[in-house]
Amino acid sequence: MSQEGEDPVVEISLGGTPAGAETVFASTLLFGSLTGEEVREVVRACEQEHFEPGECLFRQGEEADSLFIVVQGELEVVGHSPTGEKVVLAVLGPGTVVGELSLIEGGPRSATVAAVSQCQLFRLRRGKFDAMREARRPAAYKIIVGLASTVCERRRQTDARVEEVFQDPAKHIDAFESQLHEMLGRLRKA
Amino acid sequence: MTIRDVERYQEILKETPFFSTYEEEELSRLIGVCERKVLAPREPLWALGSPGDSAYVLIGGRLEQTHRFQPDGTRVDQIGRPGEIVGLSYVVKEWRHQSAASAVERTELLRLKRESFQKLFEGGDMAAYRLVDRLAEEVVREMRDANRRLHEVFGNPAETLRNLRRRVRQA
Repeated sequence: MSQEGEDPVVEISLGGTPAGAETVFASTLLFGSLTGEEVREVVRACEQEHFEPGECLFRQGEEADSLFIVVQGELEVVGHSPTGEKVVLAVLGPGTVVGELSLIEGGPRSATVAAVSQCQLFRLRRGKFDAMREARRPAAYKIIVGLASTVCERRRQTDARVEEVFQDPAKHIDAFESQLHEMLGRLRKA
Repeated sequence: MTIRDVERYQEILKETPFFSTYEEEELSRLIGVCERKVLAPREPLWALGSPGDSAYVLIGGRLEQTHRFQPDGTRVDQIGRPGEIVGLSYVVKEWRHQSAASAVERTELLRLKRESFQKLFEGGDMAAYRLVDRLAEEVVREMRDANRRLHEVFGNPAETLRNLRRRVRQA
């Protein structure tokens, strides 16, 4: 799964200001409306983290307290089927933001996220973000507006997907029947 | 809107849970960029599928907001407390309404258009930031709701299949 070599080269200086990190932030939808100075402010509030292949950023059910921004490498989002099988829900690359809602509220993580290749990430903890909100920093408020836009869009896509299934039930019966038979088959095997 | 109107709205809103957190000046600035809107009984505020570009703050009267959901039908919310806000996410981006809203009785509202909100927000006005704090709470609710619906339909194929078969029989 690793696409090492295809990822954009991002210089990261562990001791000082991360060079190139601003480009990654500015390329994401969530941080896209921030000015250069605001991005630098967010970068300063972040911690840089490195993950080896197979290492977990977090596991399903753990308390969510941070957002991650992928700078380099690849991650996989893993869930589990009702029969306990590992299901890869998504593969995420540089410029992806993981766990956006944890900036606003905690609660259990809905999936496990692990590194597929060597990964460089920025981690923004809710505590740091709350401090920015309390100080009424425009960057924090622009991030929430970006988050609202993303979430409302997802909500609309969900509704459209559900609507499509029930608008033309005959068209989707076969797909749900096969899904059910597969699940029953796996249960019998187990 | 006259100065007397602004003062009256301020008096009403400062007694409400959310707007009581506003400083007097902030509330005055927010009201100042809003438009007054009065609906007659049963008059629609917006229709399902119409473009949404404003949030509304209830001053007096009562609204009914009808949401349509698959597969369980409709949910009707009653909005009757002064200071309640409807359609807050429309100040962030223009979307089509996924609900319908209309007045149950004579209803008075303040309309906050997206461009008015954007001006306040871009100017770093606390009046806008407080609305964004409120929006953050709504975002979490929206996401939870979306996840719940996804799980109901796609995570429970047996129930969805029963629903789909019933629909086909009824068609």
